Amino acid sequence: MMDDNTELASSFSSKIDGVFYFLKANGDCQSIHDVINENILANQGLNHSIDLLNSTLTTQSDSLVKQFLPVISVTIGVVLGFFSNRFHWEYTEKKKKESESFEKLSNLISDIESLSVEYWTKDRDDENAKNEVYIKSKIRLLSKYIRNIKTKDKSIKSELEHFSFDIFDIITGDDFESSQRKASKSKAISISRKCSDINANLLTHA
Amino acid sequence: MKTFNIGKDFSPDPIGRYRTDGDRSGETFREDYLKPIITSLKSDETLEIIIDDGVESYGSSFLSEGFAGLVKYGYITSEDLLSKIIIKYTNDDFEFFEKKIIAYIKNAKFNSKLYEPTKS
Repeated sequence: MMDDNTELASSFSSKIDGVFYFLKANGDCQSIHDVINENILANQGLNHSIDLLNSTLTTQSDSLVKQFLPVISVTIGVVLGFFSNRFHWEYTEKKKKESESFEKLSNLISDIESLSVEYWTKDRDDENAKNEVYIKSKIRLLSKYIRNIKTKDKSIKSELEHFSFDIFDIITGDDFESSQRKASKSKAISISRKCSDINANLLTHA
Repeated sequence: MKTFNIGKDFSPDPIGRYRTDGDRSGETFREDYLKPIITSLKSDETLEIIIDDGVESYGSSFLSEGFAGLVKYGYITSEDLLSKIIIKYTNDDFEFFEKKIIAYIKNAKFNSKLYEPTKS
C-alpha cells in the first residue's frame, strides 16, 4: 500500500513538474512550483505515518484479545457453571418435593384404609360418629393432596383421581352414617385392596 | 335465579341417606327442600346451590340420595336437572363434591325406582 502511494505521489509530481517546465519558459512561476513540491513531500510523509499507525493498531488489537482471552474464558465458564448448578439444584428440589408429597399421600391412604376397614368390619356402635368424622375429613384431605400434586406424570395423577372417586363411593356409600348399618366384610376387603394397590403404585414414584 | 345454601338453609352437618338416619339426611334434603324448589322454578330459571358455606364435608350416601334421587324416582331427567342447577363453592376442596354430584346425577336412571318414604 505504501509503494502504491509513493508511486502515485511521484507520478503526480512529475506531471506537475511538466506543467511548470512549460510555465518556466514564460518566467516567474518558480515560487508556486516550490510550494506544490513541499505539499507533495508533506503528503508522502503523512502517508508513511498513517501506514505506521495502522500496522501498530493491528498489532495492539491482536495482543489485547490474547491478553483478555483467559479472563473471558473463565467468565463464560463461571456463568455456565452457575446456571448448570442452579438447574441441577432446582431439579433435585422438585424431585424431593414430589417424592415427599407422594409419601404424605401414601400415609394418608393408609390412615383412611385403617379407619374404614375398622368402620366396615363392625356393626353400628357408639364409636361410629367419631370414625365417620375422621373418614369424611380425611377423604376431603385426600382430594386436596391429589389436587396439589405437581408431577409431569399425568397418568399417576389421573389414577389417583379415579382412586379418590372410587374409594369415596365405597367408603361413604350405601349405609354410611346410617343408624341401621351392618358390618360388610366384602366392602372392607374391597377398601383394603384398592388402598394397597394405589399405595404400591405410589411407592414406585416416591 | 334462586339460591339455596345447604349449610344455612338445610344443615351444616348433612349426614346419612334416609329419614330413618335423622332429619339431616339425603332423603329429607331431597323431599323437603330440593324437590319443592326445583318444581317451583320457572322454565328459564336456575337454582344456585352453595355447598361449602358452613359444611365441612359430605358422604356419598347423602349426595347420591339427595341429588340423584330426584332422577331415580322420576321427578326430573338428568339433563333437565343439570340444566337447572349450578353448584357453587369458594373453597377448592369442594370441587371434588361438585364432580361427584354431577356424576351421580348423570349416572342415575330416570324413574328406575318407586319412591317409598322410609319414615312417615
